[in-house]
Amino acid sequence: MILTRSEEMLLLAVHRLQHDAYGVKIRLLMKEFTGKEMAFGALFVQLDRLSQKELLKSYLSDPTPERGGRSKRIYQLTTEGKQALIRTKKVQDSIWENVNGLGLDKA
Amino acid sequence: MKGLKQKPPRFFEWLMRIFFPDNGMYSTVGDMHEQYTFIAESEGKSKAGWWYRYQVIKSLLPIPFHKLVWNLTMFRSYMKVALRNFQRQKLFTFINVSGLAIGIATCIIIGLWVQNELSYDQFHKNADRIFRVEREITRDEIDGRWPITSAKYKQALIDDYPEVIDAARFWRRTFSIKDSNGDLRRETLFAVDNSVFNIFDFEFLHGSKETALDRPKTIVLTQDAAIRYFGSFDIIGNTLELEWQGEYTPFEITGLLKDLPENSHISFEMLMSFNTYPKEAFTSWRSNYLHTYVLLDEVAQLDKINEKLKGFIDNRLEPEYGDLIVQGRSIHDVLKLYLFPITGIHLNPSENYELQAGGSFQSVVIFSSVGLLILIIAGINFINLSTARANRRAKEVCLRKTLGAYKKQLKIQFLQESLLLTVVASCLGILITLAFISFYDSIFSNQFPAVRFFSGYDILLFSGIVFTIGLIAGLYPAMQLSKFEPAQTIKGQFQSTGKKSNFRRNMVVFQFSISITLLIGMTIMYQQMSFINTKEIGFEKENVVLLPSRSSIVADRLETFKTKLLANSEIISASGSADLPGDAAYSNGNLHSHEGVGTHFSSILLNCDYDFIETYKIPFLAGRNFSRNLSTDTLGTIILNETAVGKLGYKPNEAIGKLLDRGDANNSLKIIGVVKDFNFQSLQYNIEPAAFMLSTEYITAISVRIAPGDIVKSLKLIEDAWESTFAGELFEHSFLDERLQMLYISERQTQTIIIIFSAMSVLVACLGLFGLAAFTAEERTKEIGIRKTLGATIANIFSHLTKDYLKWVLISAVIAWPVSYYLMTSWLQNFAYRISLNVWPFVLSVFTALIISLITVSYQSLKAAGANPLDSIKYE
Repeated sequence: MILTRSEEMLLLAVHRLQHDAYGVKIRLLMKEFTGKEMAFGALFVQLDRLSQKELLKSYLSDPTPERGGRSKRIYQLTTEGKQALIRTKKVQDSIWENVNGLGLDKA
Repeated sequence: MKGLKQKPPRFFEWLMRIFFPDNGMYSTVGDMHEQYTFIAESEGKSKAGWWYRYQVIKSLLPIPFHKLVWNLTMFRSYMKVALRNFQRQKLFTFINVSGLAIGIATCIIIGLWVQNELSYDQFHKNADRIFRVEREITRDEIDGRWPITSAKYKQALIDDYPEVIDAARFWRRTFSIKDSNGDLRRETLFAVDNSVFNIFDFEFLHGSKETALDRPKTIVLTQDAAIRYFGSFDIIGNTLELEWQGEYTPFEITGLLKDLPENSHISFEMLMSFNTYPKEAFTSWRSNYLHTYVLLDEVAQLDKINEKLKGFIDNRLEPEYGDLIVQGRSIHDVLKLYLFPITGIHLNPSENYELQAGGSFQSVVIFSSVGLLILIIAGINFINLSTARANRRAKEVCLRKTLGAYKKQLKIQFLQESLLLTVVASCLGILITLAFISFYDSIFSNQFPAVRFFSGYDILLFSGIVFTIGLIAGLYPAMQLSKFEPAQTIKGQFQSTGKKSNFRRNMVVFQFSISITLLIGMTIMYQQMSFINTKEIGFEKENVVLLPSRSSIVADRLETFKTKLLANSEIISASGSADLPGDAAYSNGNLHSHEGVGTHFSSILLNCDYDFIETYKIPFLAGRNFSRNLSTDTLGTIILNETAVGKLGYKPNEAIGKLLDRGDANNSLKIIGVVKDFNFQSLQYNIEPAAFMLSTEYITAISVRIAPGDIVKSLKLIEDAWESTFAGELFEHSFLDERLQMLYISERQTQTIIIIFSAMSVLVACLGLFGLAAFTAEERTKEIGIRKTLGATIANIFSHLTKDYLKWVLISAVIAWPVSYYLMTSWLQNFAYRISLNVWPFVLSVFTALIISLITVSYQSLKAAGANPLDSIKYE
């Protein structure tokens, strides 16, 4: 299965954040990646779908006071998630291999 | 940390919690909270608040929108499927809808009638504070309710009791009235105090509510009377001539009233001022002939006042009623004074001196239950047919389940279907009701007694009831239908027999128990009423013409009139009297025996002339009639009936020559004759002691016995004789048998309605049976085909298919018998003269039910049995 661009970014964000991978932080990182604000609604829908595809799993942390006493739902990559990322990376690499004349070097 | 104190907008946070429950951990809410805190710290609280609100609204808005769109789509799809189903199964749909429609129509009709019965006298603003003053007198251990009082109560009650704000008297009088053309009419009206307008809400169109009937010889008309006499409403200041003390005297019209509503226990077209009668005329406490009503203040409590009224008896009445007191008892044992709420009068009318024939609480209960029972029968049809046909929907249900429908959705689908049917049925039901009411109005001259005005409340109530019926009737089928397991069903394992058909059988048995009970009740009511109609009442009621008259001229020239009449062979005899059969208004009195100290009894006293007993053909058991030839008969003689003689302890022939008196030993009365018992009142009451006394002065009616045959000619003869004898007196006539029929009007009405509705219930139950039979026959098509191939005859198959149903009807009969026996025995207790229950109504009703259900079932059975087995086996 090949991931879409946003799926790939979300999974990478989750992977990079490790034990801090919950809604707010993922959204921040996504903003860093793309430079755009992502609506919470859109974020949760995506995370939900990835969980349904079993690329992500999640657990609830202990409640913290700065969140009004609510728990964090912390996401983690599943084995399938990791494999999907690797597969996607490979496909991309092969696509990008030997691409010349776009001016990639200058950037 | 500063952020800790800042909280997102509470309402929106609540919304989030409701819509994103997240197993109670609210991690989403937590994320939002954290972000909110972050924005609040970096960009300020208000910006963070708005951001929060925006996020919540943005994510919530699609939810109701999607819900609506999907529900509508599903609704449309369900409706389409439902309509297709109805179309495919026209017979079942027809049975369901028509049965329910009949049930609903019955309920509406009965509901309207009951509503009308309960609404009596509620239209007065102060209805709950208006009471009638009534007395209860115990004579010979029998309680009698007397809603009449003397004229003196009114002022005395106002004087003695501060709670009594106002009081008014209604005195029913009959007058001859001369209209503007000089024609005479007889009118019954009330002489009333002007205070009636303070107590009751009789609406004035013209004239002053405060003073209309203050002056003597003033009169107030309703719209109907105004049109009748003047043809216009512009009548204030005009006069009507009433026969007042023998002369036609002008009475001034001082007011025009709006016509009274039907649901009033007091009805009149004219009121005259009570002050027309001189105050000196009313001095006696014991002349009771008028109705007194009081208005209490807002805090007064009925039971407390009734307790206080004992003081009224002590202070005012005891000296007057000394003779009532039997030794060793107080006046309170024999005389009670109490207030009766006017809103209760219609359903609890007094048997004596009531202003209007009332209804009965019992009929209200009977009708309501009959209506409810019919609705239940129709509902059972619905449930039975829907569950019976469940298998046809099984595949649909399973397909829906396989495609992901929840059980709840299926339930909703089937409930929607049953609601759709109920709504269609209630529209039909309303049409049936309208048809019934206009039919009733055109068949009977009077209007169907129902409230004709529907308030928004009624409509709301009705929709609520229809909705409930739909839900209740649809609930069981919906539960059953949504239960199918896809895996089993698709493999073809239906469970159509066994437990579920047991349920249907029980329901059918229940339906038929109700129907048979109603049939038995109907038969017994019919028997009882025809028993009363044909019962010997002790005198011959046919061919007697009654001529009412209050005028003194009539009494004076009565003998001349009689001579003129008897010259014709068509007239057999004629008599004047003060009382007529069927009147509740007899005078009552105590008769004391001269032998055996203290023997006394209460008796009806009938004043009549020499020919009364002969005219009514009341047979003598002993002694003789009053005789013109014996001048001693004019005073001090009396004729008793059997019951009265029995009270004295004599045999009829022993009684002749014995002396009685009416409480004054010096004016004794000699018994000269004893007649057979006769029944002047409704046969609901026992025969009371009665006595005839000779009176030629006090005559209020003439009874004429005519020869059977040409009634029109006889009437013409009577009218001619009347005109030539009492020139100028109003001629009116009625027939005795018709008058006596009036006594049974309310029973007759009950009977008619019960018969109609019992027929309805049987019809609806049979509709259901027809549907079930059709279903079974269809379901067993293959079985029948195989049986026929193996050699079964049509008769075999017919009996095979039919005997089950007949067995059910018989089981229902076993249930219905004791129930109806108990119910009808208690109904018959209302009658003093009643039939003894025999076995026939019970057998006959079951037989009828059997025949009707046999006819119903056999159509389907014969159709199935007669089918070609080849087709049957190929069926499916």
